Formats: sequence, structure tokens, C-alpha cells
Amino acid sequence: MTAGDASERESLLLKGALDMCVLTLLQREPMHAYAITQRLADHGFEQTGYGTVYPLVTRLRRSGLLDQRAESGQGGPTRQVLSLTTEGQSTLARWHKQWHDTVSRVDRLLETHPKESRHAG
Amino acid sequence: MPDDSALPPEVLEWLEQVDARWRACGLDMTTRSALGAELAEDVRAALAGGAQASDLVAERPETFADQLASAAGAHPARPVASVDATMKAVVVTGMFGAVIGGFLTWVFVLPGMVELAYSDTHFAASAALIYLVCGLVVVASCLGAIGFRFRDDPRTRRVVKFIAPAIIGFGLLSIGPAVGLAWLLNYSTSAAGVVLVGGVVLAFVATGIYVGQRLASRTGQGASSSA
Repeated sequence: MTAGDASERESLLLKGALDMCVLTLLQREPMHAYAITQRLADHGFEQTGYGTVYPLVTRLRRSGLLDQRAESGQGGPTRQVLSLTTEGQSTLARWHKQWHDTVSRVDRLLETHPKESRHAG
Repeated sequence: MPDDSALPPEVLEWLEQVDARWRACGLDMTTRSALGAELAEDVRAALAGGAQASDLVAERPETFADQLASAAGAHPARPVASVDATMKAVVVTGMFGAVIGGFLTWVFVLPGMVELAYSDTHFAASAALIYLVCGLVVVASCLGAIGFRFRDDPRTRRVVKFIAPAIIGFGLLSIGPAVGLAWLLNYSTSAAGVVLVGGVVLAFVATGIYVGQRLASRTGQGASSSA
């Protein structure tokens, strides 16, 4: 597998989880879009840049999961700070449960498969 | 509309390309302005917070514009045309501009230039000057029409970069045959005479568009295959 394939595979895996990651970060601390990309990079998601996060938070705002309020910067421009709405909190809790259930099922399958292969061999 | 003067040039250019993509896709001005103003404000705040301009503009503007418009629920009014359809549209637009230019030349420029520049003593030079100006008006009209219609399409702007010099080159080449034909017609300014001479110029302009389009197409294929 080339580095490009690996990166594409990671993007594919992350696609269904990135919105949950963003909501989780914002549950801990309201922040603006660029700060989200920095936090994601701190957690190893360096490939997820502003160009991905900004449209994503726009979609989450439109879905009513995020709220945005203007915060005056200290001598700088106004910052749009994002935070979870009540609906965002409950959706995140649901997504967390769904994620853990899915990961458990996938893990069980992956753990079972090599044993079956050995029996077959 | 926010003040964009404080933004770095690469960010400004990227924002312009994003907006151009939205325009090319037919997003209405109100939606574009709202999305663009909010984006510019967020980018400015990110830069003030220590973000690198290169990080903010890392995504291709076309991809980003499509994703943001979709995320915001703003659907484009028309899809982006295929390469073949774009080429055809460039040629049709160029010829339309050339015909308009030819008409304007016949009605205004040619009589005006004859009035201004015609000289019995320097007949050949004055005739060449008159036809040069007329040819340039047709070429400018042709390029102006293409430039105006495709002002928001970066891909077509690349095609126009090839077509523009080709049209100018063939436009200049047309002067010799056009002046020769005009000489044969005794420099008649009758409708038939002007249409014949104009037809020669248009034929050269059309060849210029065709050659430019072929060059752009070949270079584009080369770039694609080497990528």
C-alpha cells in the first residue's frame, strides 16, 4: 500500500467520524474553526486542514448542532466562536454510543477472523 | 462587506477564486456575498490568532467552494461545463464578438478612419493603417467577448491565454490579404466590398481561435498525462 493509498484510506475511515470528533472537541471547549484544526492536529489528524473543517462546521451549524457567537478579539478582528447546542449535545451522545457499538462489532469480527483462518488452514 | 485590505495576497487570491467558482456555478449574489463575507471574517480572525496563510489556503479553491456551498445548502444553478463544451462555447463566443466588432468597424471605425487617416500622397501607408485599426477592433471585440463571458472560469482563462496571442497573430496576418483584396476592389466601402474584406479578417480570426484552442487542448492533455 502506497502512502497515497494509506492517506486515502484514512480519509475514508475518518469521513464518518470527523463530525463526531469536532463535536467532541467543542463539547470540551467552545472555539473557532481554525482552533479546531489545531486541536485535531494535536490528536494526530494533521491532514485535516481548515479547508475541510470550515465547510464541516458550516454544515453542523446548519443542522442545528452548533451555535456560533461573535467574540471581540483583543485588538484584533471579531472571532466566531462555535459551541454545541442542546441538540448537538444529545446528538453527540447518540453518535458516541453508535461509534462504540460499531467499533465493538468490527473488533469482534477482526479478532474472530484470524482464528477461523487458522482452523481452515 | 468586510474590509479585505488587511488579508495577505495569497489569501485574497484564494478567496477570489472561491467566489469565482461560485459565480461560475451560478450561485446568486446574495448567497455568495453572505458566504464570502463570513468566510473572509473567519479567515481574518484565524490569521490574527496565529494561523499561517498557507495552511488556510491549502485546499483547492474549487473543491473548497463546492464543499462549502453544499454544506451551507446553497446549490449551484448550473453544473460546470465539460472541456469540450467549454471549447465550443469559447469558439462561438469569440466569433460572436468578432462579428459584433466587424459590424462596429463597418458602421463607425472604417468611415472614421478613412476620414482621419486617408491620404492620396501616402496611399499604401494610410490604407495599411486604416485596415490595421479595423482589424485590431475586430480582434479586441473577439477577445473582449471571450474574456467577459468566461471571466469567472479559471480553466477557460487558461484556454484564453493560448487563444489570445493566436487571434492577435492571425489578426495581424489577415491585414496583408485584407488590404490586397481591398486594393483589388478599389477600396470600395460598399456593403459587398466590406463584407468580403471583413470575411477575410473573420476567417483569419476563426483560424486563430481554432489554433489556440488546439494548442490549449494539447497542452492540457500533456499536463494531465504527466500529473
